[in-house]
Amino acid sequence: MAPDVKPGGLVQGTLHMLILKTLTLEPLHGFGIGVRLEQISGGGFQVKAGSLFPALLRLERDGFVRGEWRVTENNRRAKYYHLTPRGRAQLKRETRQWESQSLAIARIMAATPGEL
Amino acid sequence: MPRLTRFLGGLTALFRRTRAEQELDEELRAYLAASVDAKIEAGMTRDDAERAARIEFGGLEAVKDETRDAGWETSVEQLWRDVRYAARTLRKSPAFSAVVILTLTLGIGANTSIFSAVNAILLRALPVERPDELIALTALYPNGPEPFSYPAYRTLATDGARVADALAASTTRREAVAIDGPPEAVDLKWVSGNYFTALGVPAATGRLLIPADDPQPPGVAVTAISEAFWTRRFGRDPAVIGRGVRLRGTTFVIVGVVGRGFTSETPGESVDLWMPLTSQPGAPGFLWNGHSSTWLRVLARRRPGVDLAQARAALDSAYVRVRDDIAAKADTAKVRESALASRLDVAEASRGVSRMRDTLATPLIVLMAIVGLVLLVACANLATLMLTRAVARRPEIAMCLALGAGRARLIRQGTIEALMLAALGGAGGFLVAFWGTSVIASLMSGVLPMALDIHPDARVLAFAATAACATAVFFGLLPTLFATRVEPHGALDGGKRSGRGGRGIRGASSGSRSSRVPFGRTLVAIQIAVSLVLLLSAGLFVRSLMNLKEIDLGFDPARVVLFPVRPTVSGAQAMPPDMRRQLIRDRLERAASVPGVEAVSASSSGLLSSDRWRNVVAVDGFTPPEGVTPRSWVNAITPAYFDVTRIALLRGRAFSDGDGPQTPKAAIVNEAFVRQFIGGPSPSNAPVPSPEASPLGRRVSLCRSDPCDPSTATTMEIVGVVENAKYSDLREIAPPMLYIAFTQHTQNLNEIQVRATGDADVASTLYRALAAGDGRLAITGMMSASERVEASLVAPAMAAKLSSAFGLLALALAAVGLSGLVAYMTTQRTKEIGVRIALGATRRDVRRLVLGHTIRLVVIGAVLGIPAALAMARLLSGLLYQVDPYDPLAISLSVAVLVCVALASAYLPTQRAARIDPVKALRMD
Repeated sequence: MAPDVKPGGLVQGTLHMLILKTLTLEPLHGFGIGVRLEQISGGGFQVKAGSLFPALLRLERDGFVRGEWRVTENNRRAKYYHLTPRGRAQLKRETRQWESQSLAIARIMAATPGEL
Repeated sequence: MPRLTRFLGGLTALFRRTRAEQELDEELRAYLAASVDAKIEAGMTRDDAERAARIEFGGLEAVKDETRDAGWETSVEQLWRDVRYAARTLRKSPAFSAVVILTLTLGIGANTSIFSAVNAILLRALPVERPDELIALTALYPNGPEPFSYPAYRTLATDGARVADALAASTTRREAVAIDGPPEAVDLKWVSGNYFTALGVPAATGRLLIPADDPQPPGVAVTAISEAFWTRRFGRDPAVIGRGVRLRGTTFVIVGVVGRGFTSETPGESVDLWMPLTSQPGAPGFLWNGHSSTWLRVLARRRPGVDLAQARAALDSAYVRVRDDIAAKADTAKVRESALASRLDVAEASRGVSRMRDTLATPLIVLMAIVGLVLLVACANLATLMLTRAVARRPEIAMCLALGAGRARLIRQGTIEALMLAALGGAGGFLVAFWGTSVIASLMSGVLPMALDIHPDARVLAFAATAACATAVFFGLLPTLFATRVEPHGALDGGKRSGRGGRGIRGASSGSRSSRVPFGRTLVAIQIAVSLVLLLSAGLFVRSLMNLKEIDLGFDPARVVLFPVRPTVSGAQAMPPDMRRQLIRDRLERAASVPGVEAVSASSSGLLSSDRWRNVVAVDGFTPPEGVTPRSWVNAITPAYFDVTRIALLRGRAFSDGDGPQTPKAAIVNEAFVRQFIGGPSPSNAPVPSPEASPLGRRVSLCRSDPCDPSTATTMEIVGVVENAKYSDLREIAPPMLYIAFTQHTQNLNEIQVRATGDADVASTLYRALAAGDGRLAITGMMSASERVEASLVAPAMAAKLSSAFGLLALALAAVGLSGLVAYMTTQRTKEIGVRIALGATRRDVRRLVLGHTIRLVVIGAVLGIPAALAMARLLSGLLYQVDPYDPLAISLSVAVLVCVALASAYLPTQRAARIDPVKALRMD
C-alpha cells in the first residue's frame, strides 16, 4: 500500500495494524477503538470516523475481524469487533514487518555525520 | 482466501443493500452517541457535547460514502446505475437510437456475412480429430504443383510411416452408378484404405473404410457414403448398409455412413461415395506401376511427438527416392530433368487442402475490405451524429462537471451508452448474417461449392462482437472524449459569449469556425474519401463485367442444351470403340427425333468445361523454335458439332458422315491454330510461311510422345478452318484448337449438345428421351449453354453487384453525413448569416458561402480519396478483365458522381440558409 501520509502523521496501512493491536485485549466498538488508540498513543493519534469505518469494513471483508451487535455499558446497541484467528496471525506478520522496518529507519536516522 | 471473502462480502452487501445500509447507519449513530456520552462524562453540557461530536465526526453521509467505497461492490452499483441511465437516455430519443442501431445492424451484418464466407473458406479447420496434426504433401515441379502417382504415394507412406500416417485421395469424379435401378450420377472419390482412420472421422452408422480394404484384388469391394447422400438418396434408412452400388460392372457394398459433418479433405468439395482406390474396376496397369499417371493428393497425420520440421525432414528423404525412381523410369530427358528439379512441399493442413482457397482468397479479402470500409463510413456517420448530440448536451455535461462528477465518470457514461447501442447493433448484425450468408451462398452459387457450409459459428459470433466493440470505440468514445473537454463556467454561460477565450463552446466559437462541430469536418471528409474508393472499385468491376459480357464467344449458346454423358462400364473388352460410337449415335438419333430439335452433336470436351485435352502436335512445314514443343487443344466431335454450336466455318468443309474409320483421316483447325502453325506471325527464328499458304490439305499429326515420333503419331489432313471460339475460360485468348472426327479416333464423347428450333422448352422432353437409352451410357446432368456461360461469369457478376451495392450504400451514408453537417453548421451560424444579409449580402452570397464549405469538404475528401482509390485499384487489377486499374473513365465518373451527390445533398441546407430572415435571425436567443 502506498505510504499515504494522513493528517495526524499516520501512515496509511499502519492504521489496520493499529486497529488489530487494540483488539488483542478485548472486543471493542468503533468509538472504543478510536478512544483506545488515542489513549495508548498519549493523544498522538486522533482517528476520524471517515478513516476508521472504511478500515473496519476492509478488515471485516478480509476476515481479520468480525463484528457483533451487543449492548454497551450505557445500555446502547453497538457493533463490537473482535479479532479472528486469521487476524491474529496477520497482526503477528505485520508486527514483525513493522519492527524490522522501523529498526532500519531508526538506524538510518540515528546515523552520525561520519557514517553518512 | 482474503480475495474470496472480500468478494463474497461484497456480494452479500450487493444483494442485501438495505440491510447493509441500515447496519452502517446504526453503527455510525452508535459511534456518535458514544462520543457524546464520553464528552458529557468529561463535563460538557449535552448541547455542547453534541455539537462537538458532530464537528469531530464530519458529515454523516460523507463518512457513509467513504465506508461504502472501501468495498468493490460500489463500482458495480455505479455501473448498473450508468447502464440504467444510458437505457433511459436512449429511450428518450427513440429516433436517434433507432437510426444508430439500424445503421450498425446493417454495417455489422454485412461484415459478419462476408466474414462467414471468409471463415468457412479460409479459416475453418476440418471437422476431424486434432486437425492441427494434419499435413499436406505436394510435389513442386518447376512448372507448378503436381499430384502423386500411386507408386510415389506408396513410397512416401512406407518410408515416412515412422513420422506420419499418409493417406491418398483422388479428386472427385462424376460417375454413373446403378443402385437397384437405372444409372444415376454420383460424385465419387477414390481413397486409400486409411483415409478415414488417418483423418480421424467417425462413422454415423456402420463402419468406414479401413486399411484392410486396401489389398488387391479385394475380397469384397466396399464403399462408404456421405451423410448428405444417405439423406438424399436413401432417406436416412439404416438398412442402407449391405446394399450394393454397381460401378462399371463391379458391385461395391455399402458398409457405412460418414459422420460428424465431414464432407471431404478438400473443403467445399461434395462427395457421395468413397471407395478404396485399389478396387477401381478396369484400372489400367500403368496406374499401379510407373509414374505416367499422377492422380493422387496426399495428406498425412503426424505421429504423436513429431513436429512439422521432423516430419518434413523424414518425408523429404522419402521423396528423394520417389524422385530418383521417376527419373530412372522417365522416357525422355525432359521428364527426367523436371523430376530431378522437383521437391516435396510439406505444409500444415488443419484446414484441409483446397484450390478454391487459393482462387477465392483475393476476391474475399477485397470484399472484406469493401464491407469494412462501408462500416467505417457508417461509423463516421454515427460519430458525427453523436458529436452533434454531444454539442447539444454540453450545458448538461458542464452542469454535471460543475456538480462534481469526474470526467472519467462522464466518459464511462458515454462509453456505456455507445456500447449499449453497439451491442444491440452487433446482435442485430449477427442475426442479419444468418440471412446474409444465404444471400451470399445464392450469389456465389457456381463459385462456391454447394457442400460448403458458410453459416455463422462461434468464431463469426466473436467477430461480430469485436466489430461491435470497435465501432463503439470509434463512434462513441471519441465524441465523448471531446464533449467532456468542457470547462463548466464557459459552457454554463450559455448564449452569452465568454469572450475570455475560455474553452467553453461559445468561447471557442468566436475563434475558429471549424471547432463548432469539432472533427465533424474530418469525419465527413473521410466518408467522402472512402466512398470514392468504393465507387471506383465498383466502377472497375462493372466495366470488367461489361467487357466479359461483350466477349465474342465464337459460338452461339442460345437455345442449346448440354447433357454430360458417362459410360457405366469400362475396359476395352466391355466397350470397344465401335460400340461406344454406336451408343452415342443412338442417343443422338433419339434426341434428333424429339420435335423442336434442330441439330444434335457430341464432343469429347464439353462447351466451356474444365474437362479438356491438350496434346503434342506436329504440323507439316512448321519447325518449332528450339526447346518448344508445339501443342494444341484437341476435341473429338461428331459432324453436326459446328451446326449446333454455330462456330462459323471459314474455309473448306466440316466433318461429314463420310469421314469414317476407313477413309483418310481428316482434321479441322481454328484460326489461332492457323496463325500459330501455318500462316501469320511466327517466332523470329522459325521459317516464315508464305501468306498464301493455304492450310487446307496441310498434314497435321497427333503425337504420342514428346518430341514427336512420326512412327507412333496419327497423321491427318486439314479439311477445314473454323472461327476461334472460347474453349474453357472466357477470359483466355482463344488457343490453337484441333478438331478431330470421333469416328476416326477412340476418345470417349463426354457431352451431347442439342440445338432447339424455337424458344419452346424441350429440355425435359429431351432429357427423358436421352435417359431412356442403353444403360451402358448414362446422362449425368443437364444445363443450357447460356447457363454455363452465366456460370463462368458468376464471380465477376457477383463482384460487380456487391461492390456497386456497397459503393452506393457508402455514398448514401456519406451524403446523409454531409447534408447533416451542412445543415448543422448552417443552424449554428444562423445569426451570423442574418447579420450578413442585414448588411447587404445577397441570397447568392449566402449560397456561395455555404456551398463553398461543401466544396471544400469534397475537395479535401477527393484529395485523400484518390490516392487510396488508386491503391485499391492496384489491388483489384488481378480480378479485372481488360480494364486498366487506372481507367480514366471509371475514375472521372466516380469523382463526378461523388461531386454531384455531394452538391445535391448540400442543396436543401443551402436553400434554407439563403431563406434566413435577418430580423428573425437577429432576435434569436
